[in-house]
Parts: sequence; structure tokens; C-alpha cells
Amino acid sequence: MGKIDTIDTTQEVDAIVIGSGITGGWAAKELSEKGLKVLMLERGKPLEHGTGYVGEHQPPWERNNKGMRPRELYKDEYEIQSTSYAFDETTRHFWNNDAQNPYDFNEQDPFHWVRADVVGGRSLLWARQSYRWSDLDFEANKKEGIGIDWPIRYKDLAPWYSYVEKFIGVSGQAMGLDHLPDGEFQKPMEMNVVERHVASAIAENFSDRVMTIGRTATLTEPLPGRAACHYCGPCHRGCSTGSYFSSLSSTLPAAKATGNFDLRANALVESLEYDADTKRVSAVRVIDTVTGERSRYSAKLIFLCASTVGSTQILLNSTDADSGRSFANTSDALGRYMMDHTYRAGARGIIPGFEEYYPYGNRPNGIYIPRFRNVDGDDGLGFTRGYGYQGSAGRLSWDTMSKITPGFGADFKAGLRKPGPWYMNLGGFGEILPYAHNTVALHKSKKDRFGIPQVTFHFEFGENEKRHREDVVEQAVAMLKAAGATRIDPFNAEMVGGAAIHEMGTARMGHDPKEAVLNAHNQAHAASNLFVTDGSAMASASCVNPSLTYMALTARAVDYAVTQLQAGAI
Amino acid sequence: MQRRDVLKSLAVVLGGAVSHSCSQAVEVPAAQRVAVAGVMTDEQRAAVYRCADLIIPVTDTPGAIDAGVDEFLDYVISVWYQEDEREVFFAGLAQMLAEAQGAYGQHFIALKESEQVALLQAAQGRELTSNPLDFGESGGGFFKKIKELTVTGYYTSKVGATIERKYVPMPGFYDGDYKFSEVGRLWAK
Ligand SMILES: Cc1cc2nc3c(=O)[nH]c(=O)nc-3n(C[C@H](O)[C@H](O)[C@H](O)COP(=O)(O)OP(=O)(O)OC[C@H]3O[C@@H](n4cnc5c(N)ncnc54)[C@H](O)[C@@H]3O)c2cc1C
Ligand code: SF4
Repeated sequence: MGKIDTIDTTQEVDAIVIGSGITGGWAAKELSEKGLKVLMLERGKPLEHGTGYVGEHQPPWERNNKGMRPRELYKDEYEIQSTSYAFDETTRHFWNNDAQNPYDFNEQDPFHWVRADVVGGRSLLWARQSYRWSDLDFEANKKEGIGIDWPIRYKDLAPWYSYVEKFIGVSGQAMGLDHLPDGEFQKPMEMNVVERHVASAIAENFSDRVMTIGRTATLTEPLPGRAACHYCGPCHRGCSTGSYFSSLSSTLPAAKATGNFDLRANALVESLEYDADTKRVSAVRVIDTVTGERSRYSAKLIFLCASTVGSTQILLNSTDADSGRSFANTSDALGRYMMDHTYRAGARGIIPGFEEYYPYGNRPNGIYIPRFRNVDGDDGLGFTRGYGYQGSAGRLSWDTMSKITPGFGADFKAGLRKPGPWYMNLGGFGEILPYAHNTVALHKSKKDRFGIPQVTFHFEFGENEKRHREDVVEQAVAMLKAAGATRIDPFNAEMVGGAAIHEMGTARMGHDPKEAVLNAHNQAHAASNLFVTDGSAMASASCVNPSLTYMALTARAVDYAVTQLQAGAI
Repeated sequence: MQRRDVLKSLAVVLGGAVSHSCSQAVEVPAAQRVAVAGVMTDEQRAAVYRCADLIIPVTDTPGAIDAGVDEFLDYVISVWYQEDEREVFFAGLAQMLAEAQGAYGQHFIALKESEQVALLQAAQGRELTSNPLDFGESGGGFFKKIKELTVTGYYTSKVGATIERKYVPMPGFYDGDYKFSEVGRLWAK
């Protein structure tokens, strides 16, 4: 791309999509396929599918600094982003520069805002784990009197899950569980020999749980324009064969193919203008991040898909001159009820034996143990809701073995030629409840380089989260023991909000405009032509990875919006 | 920084084998040129390289120096290391070199292999802790540092990835029951 696509500001567009990540890509595809002229605004730099993936298939000996992390650069300019496992010199060009685009980070009250800064957003970086919600999730708030009731149920979303899964391609194993509904699966990837051993030990010893292969938006069978995975891994460097779902590989090409789609990169949305008489968003204010030039666009429909924090920041910054309040905040819920998942608790252990096996290929997927706590009522464990485990088995390699093998010389070298023992790792992702005091807000004085107020966070973990994490660790240890593991190493790292990169909930859906920002169709209660379909819409968090649900909500919202537009109701 | 830039910068300061123009020299940040030149004497460098080859020697596959670990060591020690790490590294190196003089009256690099091995073993002995994974705040002392650097440099080099290990950039499929005997060595990723 290189140059900025220029678009005449007077040009008539039907719909504006803000953000090109997982949800924005879906909004653009659906809107343009329904015949609307779509303009996508993305703050990040242009990036082309394929040629933009400069780290893809890069052999270890060609890495920058031979793979040594430039520590000072990371500390000075990528302090937050470099905390992600997916951040290194093969992917750095995808990520936000925290010095250039800062937020108010406070070490005493830390929150990690993990984000990309390119066309495609975090769809390039995500780990692709894709699970459906069930009514166990949608009904929980109402049953327990926590937060507000979801305005939808599983039956409302089920057809949209199917619709999305067929397009993105999800490989997985059908299991017939009510609380983790099966999807439209491509053939599952394989568990390796040790994972199967652990799975059968779990099945024999724990009647309430089962271990399966992860459900991942990675193709095991080709789809139009996208090849089946060739197991090169890791994926977050980009995939020019389009074998994992990203906006660049999938939704944006579909949108482009309609001829109804324009993309403007380096286009930072500052705020929305609101017309209180018509109760509509009348314009979108944009800053060109290269030239600093400001422009305005208007459209019949606005899809705000800038990610949970990005969209909430835009809404908070869209204030009424008189009241100083965001037009969208009729409820006081805007910016509150921030959730994420608990993460980095679990256990790993050495699994003796199986020395003759050494898997071939880099499978971009692990195992999954679906939630088994509080599934059929309260298990009486002192916490509500639950968690699921992700993990994998593999063999230790030179990096670890060289440290635990004393000595040096020819024998040492020969010893490292054989892989070390098998290990199995189980890490829990747990549901965090919606708390009013967990917030994202605009900082009172700190501004970014364009004068936009920086965001600031407050995030606390409650007793419920602390308790379920203890259970996460205990049960991981118990399952590893049952599988015959030795040298079991439980872990329960310090919790940091945002670290699971599943931030959500700060513009929640709900029936009542006094309690919620969005209605049952992700439409703003305050503005009929505004739809917010990213994670900010979530009224609770479930314990499964969220992006599949965001996609289904987005496709469903577009369908509703276009129907309403055609009916003259918007 | 690209590897070739590292080479270039080293060539600049060492007046070494790689030819280059003055304009290229300008591209190397001044601070880095000073760092590389000022950090190691020729004798220290020779001893460090020798240790690398003692840690990963030539066997049926090339050893550390043949794999280019020397350049890797130059880069890490001179450029990547922070001052405190460098101090620990050179303090331990100095001790080993002093022991060489004390015990054999000669510079480390002039000694017989068995003597060098004994000295490196002594350096290892000074750092053995009950927990082999305990690299301490600054990543251990001289021995752990040179061992870790040599190993990292070696296994991530082209030799280490394609000759010592096996590198298949596009495996094409996944087999979770693949036999180790089919490959006989580590996979490079
Ligand atoms: C390493 C990693 C692993 C992950 N693994 C998983 C997983 O396995 N499963 C899962 O479900 N989820 C996973 N996630 C989370 C997943 O990436 C996000 O949930 C998902 O991308 C959210 O989609 P989105 O469209 O809301 O946001 P994004 O994909 O982040 O896209 C938002 C876009 O909006 C742009 N934007 C923001 N502000 C503005 C503005 N003011 N003006 C214009 N544009 C703006 C951004 O630049 C960005 O491109 C992972 C994330 C990471 C980083
Ligand atoms: S492992 Fe598969 S999905 Fe991942 S980058 Fe390689 S081919 Fe693409």
C-alpha cells in the first residue's frame, strides 16, 4: 500500500466501520456484501496480506540481534506490548509503540492494554482459540443477580455462530456438551501421544471432566482463497497462505471483492458528533496520524469496532458541550464493568516415558479442558462460575536441557541432541465478574500527541477470582498426578488486568437504557445509527476465549441494522 | 540490528577482514563502535572463543566457532550486555585467566586442552548451586554466562539449526506419534 488511500470527505458512504480488527473486518464484509458502500477507518499503519509478514518463515539464524531481545528498546518503547508472549522481533511491526501512543499506566494499579497498530488489528496476533458460549453463560447474571441480564440467549446467537464458523473455518472435535456447544467444525487437529495419555487418565479419574483438542480458527481443510495449515508455527508472525483467520486473509478480501469497500489507514477516530434532536451520530471526527490533518465523515450507519478500550475511549471522548458527558452514557455504565479472564495459574509436570516419540510439525493449537465447575448448579466450592484449561504436551529442548545439564564438551553436546523428557502444561482461563469499580476512563490532564485524552484504568480482582484460581492450581496438580506426572510445578502468577487480552464489558448490552449502553442488537440506546460490536458490548465474560462471540454478535448486528435501515427505522 | 550490521560494525572497529566503505562506518552508532572496541582485548577475546569451542566442540558436527558463535559472543558481550552483566562476565574471566597464569605460568590460550578443560571446570565449580536453574539476578557468573551464550548462539545458528538439529520450515502436517528414531536429533523451529 505505502501511500494513504485518499478519500474525498464529501463522498457519500452508507456505512463507516471504525477499526479493521476481528470485529471491524466482519462488519465491513457483511455491510458491503449487503450492498452498502463502506468506508473503514483504521488508526494503524497500512499492512498487506503476505508481503507485510516480514517475520514469517524466518529461520532462527536470520533474526534481528540473533534473537536477543533489544531490552532497552522494549522497555522504552514497548513496555506493555513486550509483556505478551507473541511480541518479539518477528512481530514487533504489528504492535503499538507505547511511547508514541501511550496510556496512563500506573504500576500500583496496573492494567495491560495490549494492542496492535496496523490494518488487521489483533486478528494478526490472536491465538485463534474459538469456543461458543451457552446458556450457562447467558443466564448466569440473571440467576445470580450479578451485573445485568443479557438481553439475548444462546438461541439468538447460535445461527450466527454457525454462519461465522463456516466462513472463518474452525477445526475442532464435536463433544455433545450442552455448556460448550459444538460448532461447524473442520476436522480436528491431533492430540499427541502424551496428550492422549493425559486425556485418558483424566477420563478415568474424573467423571466430571474431559480433555479435547483445542478449537481453533486454523484450517485443516482448504477454503476459497485459503490453504490448509502447513504446520510451520508460530502463527503470529503472519500466514501468507491465509491458513488462520485474520481480517487480512479473510474478511477484508471478501469486502474488497464486493467493490463497495474503501479502507483508510492511519485514520485515528477522535470522537463522534451527536445530534440530540434526531438521536443519531451525525459525524465521525478523524485525525490523519501521518499529516495530523483533521477531517469529518458522515454515514447512515456507524459500526464502532475499535476494540473494547478503543471504542470506549471514542465514546467517552464524544461529549456534549453543555453537560460534559458522553452522549452514549445514559446509564453510567460506559467505561465500567471492565472484565478480562484470569490467567497464568495452573501447573506443569514431567510425564515419564514415551521417549521413543517426538512429534513432527508445529501444531498451532493445544488442548482444552472445558469448564467443569458449577455446571449443574453450585458445587459449594466458595466461588461461582468457572474456568477452562488450555495447555499442551511437548518435549523439553536445548534451551531448558542445556541449563539443567551440568558440564560442557562433547558429551554435553551429544546429550543435547536427544530431546529432554515430556512435560504437560495446564493453564486456566477463569471468568471474572463484572464489577462497577473496574473502569476505563479518560485521564483528566494527560493527552496523546494529537490532544486526545489518554485512557486510565482501575482494575481489581475480587474474592471470587482469587478463590477460583486456587482451585485452578489444585485441580491442575490433581490431574497431572493422575496422569503420573513427576516434578509437578504449580504456578499462580500475580494477576494483572488485561493480561489475558480478553478485556471486555465497558459499553454493555442490556434492555434498559438506564443500565446499559447498547440494546439486544448492539445498537446504542442513545443513537439509532450507532452499533458497537466489539468486546465492550459484553455483559459478562464466560471463561472461554471471546472473539468468536464478538464475530457472531457483529454479523447479527449488521443483519439487524441493514434490515432496520431498509425499513426506514434508522 | 541485522546480523550483517553487527559484522559490519565489528569489522569497522577491529579493522578486520570485511572490507567496507567509510559511509558504512557512519551508519554504526558511535556509542556502539566505542563499546565494541573498548570491551575486549585480543587476548580476552581469544580466551572467550576458546571457551566456546570447549563448551560445544567439533564432533561429528561443527563446533561453536565454526558455527559463527564468535560473532554472536562479540555482539552480546560488547553491545547487548548491560554494564553490570559485563562486569560479572569479565571478573570471572579474569579469575580464570589468573589461575591459568598461577597454575601453568602461561596464558589460557597457550595451554593444552586438558588444562583448559580443568580451568573451565574449576570456573563451573565456583558457580554450582543446588538449583541448576538458578541463574541469579544477573544470569549467573562467567561460566553460566559463557555457557548460555555459546549454547544459544550455537543452536540458533545456521549450523546449529540445520546440521546439529533438523530444520523443516514447512512441515506440511502434524504427527503427534512421530518416532524419534526417524529424525535422530532435535527439531529446529
Ligand atoms: C497474543 C494474543 C492472543 C490472543 N488469543 C486469542 C484467542 O486465542 N482467542 C480469542 O478469542 N481471542 C484472542 N485474543 C484476543 C483477540 O485478539 C481480540 O479479542 C480481538 O482481536 C478483538 O477484536 P476487535 O475487533 O474488538 O479488536 P482488534 O482486533 O484489536 O481491532 C481493533 C482495531 O481498531 C483500531 N482502532 C482502535 N482505536 C481506534 C481509533 N480511535 N480510530 C481508528 N481505529 C482504531 C485498532 O488499531 C485495531 O486495528 C488474543 C489477542 C492477542 C494479542
Ligand atoms: S502454522 Fe498453519 S496457520 Fe500458522 S502460520 Fe503456519 S500455516 Fe499458517
